Amino acid sequence: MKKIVMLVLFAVYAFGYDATIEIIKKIDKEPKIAVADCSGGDIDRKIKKRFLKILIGDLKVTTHFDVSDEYVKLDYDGNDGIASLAKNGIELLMKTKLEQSPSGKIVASIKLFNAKNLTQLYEKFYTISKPDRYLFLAHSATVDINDYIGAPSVAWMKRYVIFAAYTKPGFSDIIVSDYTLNFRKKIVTGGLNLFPKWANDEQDAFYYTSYNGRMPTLFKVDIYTGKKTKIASSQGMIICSDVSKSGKKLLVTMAPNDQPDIYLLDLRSGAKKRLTTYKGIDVSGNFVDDERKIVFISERLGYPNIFAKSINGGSVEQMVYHGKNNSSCSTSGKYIIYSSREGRNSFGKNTFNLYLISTQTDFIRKLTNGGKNLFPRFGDDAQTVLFIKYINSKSALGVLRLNANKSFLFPLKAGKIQSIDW
Amino acid sequence: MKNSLIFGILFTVLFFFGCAQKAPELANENSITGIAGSTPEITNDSQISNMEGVDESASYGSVDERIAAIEQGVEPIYFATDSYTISPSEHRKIEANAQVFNSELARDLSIKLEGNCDEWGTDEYNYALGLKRAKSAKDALSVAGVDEARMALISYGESKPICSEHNEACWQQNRRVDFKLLP
Repeated sequence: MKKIVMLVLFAVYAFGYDATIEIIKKIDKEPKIAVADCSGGDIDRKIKKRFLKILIGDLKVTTHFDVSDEYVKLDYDGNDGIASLAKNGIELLMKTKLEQSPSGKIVASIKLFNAKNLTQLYEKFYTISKPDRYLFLAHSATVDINDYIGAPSVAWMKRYVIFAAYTKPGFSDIIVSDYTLNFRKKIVTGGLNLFPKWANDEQDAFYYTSYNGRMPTLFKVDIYTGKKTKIASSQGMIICSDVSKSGKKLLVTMAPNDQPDIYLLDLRSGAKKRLTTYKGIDVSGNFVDDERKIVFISERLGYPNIFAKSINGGSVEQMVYHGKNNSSCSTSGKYIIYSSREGRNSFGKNTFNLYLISTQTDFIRKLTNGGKNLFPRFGDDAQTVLFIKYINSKSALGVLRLNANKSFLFPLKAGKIQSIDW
Repeated sequence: MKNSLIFGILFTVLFFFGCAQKAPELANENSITGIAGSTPEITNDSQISNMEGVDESASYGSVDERIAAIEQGVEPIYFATDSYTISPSEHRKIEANAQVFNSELARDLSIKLEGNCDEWGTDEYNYALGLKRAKSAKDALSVAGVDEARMALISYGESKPICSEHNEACWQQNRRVDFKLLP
């Protein structure tokens, strides 16, 4: 029977997997895992407590483990206590030991055990020289254990998120964080700074819009040197919507003639090509189809919706036939994820929800159910989506795990998230 | 209240500056008295000549003070949800604002039209919507006689709310175009 189920699952994945089809019943079972605190007294208690909390949270966000919340204290060496955990159903045990050197460097030692047979599966060491970033040790350890069990990669956990957050009317900062918002570093402060966008996969530079001069201006900032380079400015508005894989071309919404349209900027030649000419609103260009086409938001039907057209011109194709207010989207391969407004009353339910469609099927999958969910951004794995969740004046970073149909929220305590990229 | 304020400022502008410049063309005292009502003493050429030479901004400590005084008479234009069409009820404000912008006191100033939106959206679309609102106001002011070359647009999206509560009355105040004067 099990073989038949596996065969069916294989056939589904190999020949027709479609993320728009929600997996309601999961047949395979996640391994039950416990995390043990094996640190001595030489590490700051607060750091140790937060590290363990982040590690357990990370394991849950993978959706590939059944994570025990129970606090376990064990010695780092030896097998004492493991058998009793196994009796309670624990299959994997992650022993963690944090140490801090006099220079401030933090080292996390991790041992993974098969609790059933008391076998040590591996031991790894993680070091970080900037103590305030110790939670990236937890993210790295999670990525490794996830890889060890052969689950789809969660390497995105190690990536930086960049976001703008309103601090008061007319003011917003640009902040770099981890995906849980527990680590945060302000990069741009003072005035109105919006729509940050990573300039490349290496995340060593980013673009953002500054409203602090005579006109909105697009800058590129080297994140390590702080060097700021002006890319372009435009009356009205200018926003970097997408960056090509090579990092050499940008899709920019700007309005040199008071008219918001999408332009392709070639950073090498300095050439600027206007891609949309509709007299209303065309914004939010995203590269698709090996950068031969763009998907964008337009109100050419009288309401914001999602369309596509070739970089080389030609007709415009409507991509979404659902909803009457689809004002932001993100693409990954054949998938488009978009936010759709479904109500006018912010105190009611179903105000902004996220939906997933495939360009090759007619299925629509609803990803959120109620509240105000906006600004979806696909991760590199096409299985994880970041989004912004608003709850009255507060905001949170949301993480959607499409395969598992689960979402996680990480609230921002001060300020209100304006836009995100990762 | 806003109307009274606009006409009050316009009257002040015309009284102190408009009359002063036009005075030499008014050949008889009756006309002068008729306009000012309380200025029978302006009867000799030397006084009029002196007034001709007065800079319009002279009664203000700075250009900023002059701008602040003019902006008190300018009203924001409000919009319906998702719309960048100026409703008939707002057209009266466009006409009144155009008169202020074209007055002697303001004629040398540039006008920045700032488009704003409510909190329903944080994306690029919201910024484009704010821009289209500013563009609608620019077009309407142009029709009302304001030189397009004086006007520049900017969209602040939802970033500059003047009301932060979560109700329709508040959102209505945030869906607007503000007018700022620049030297």
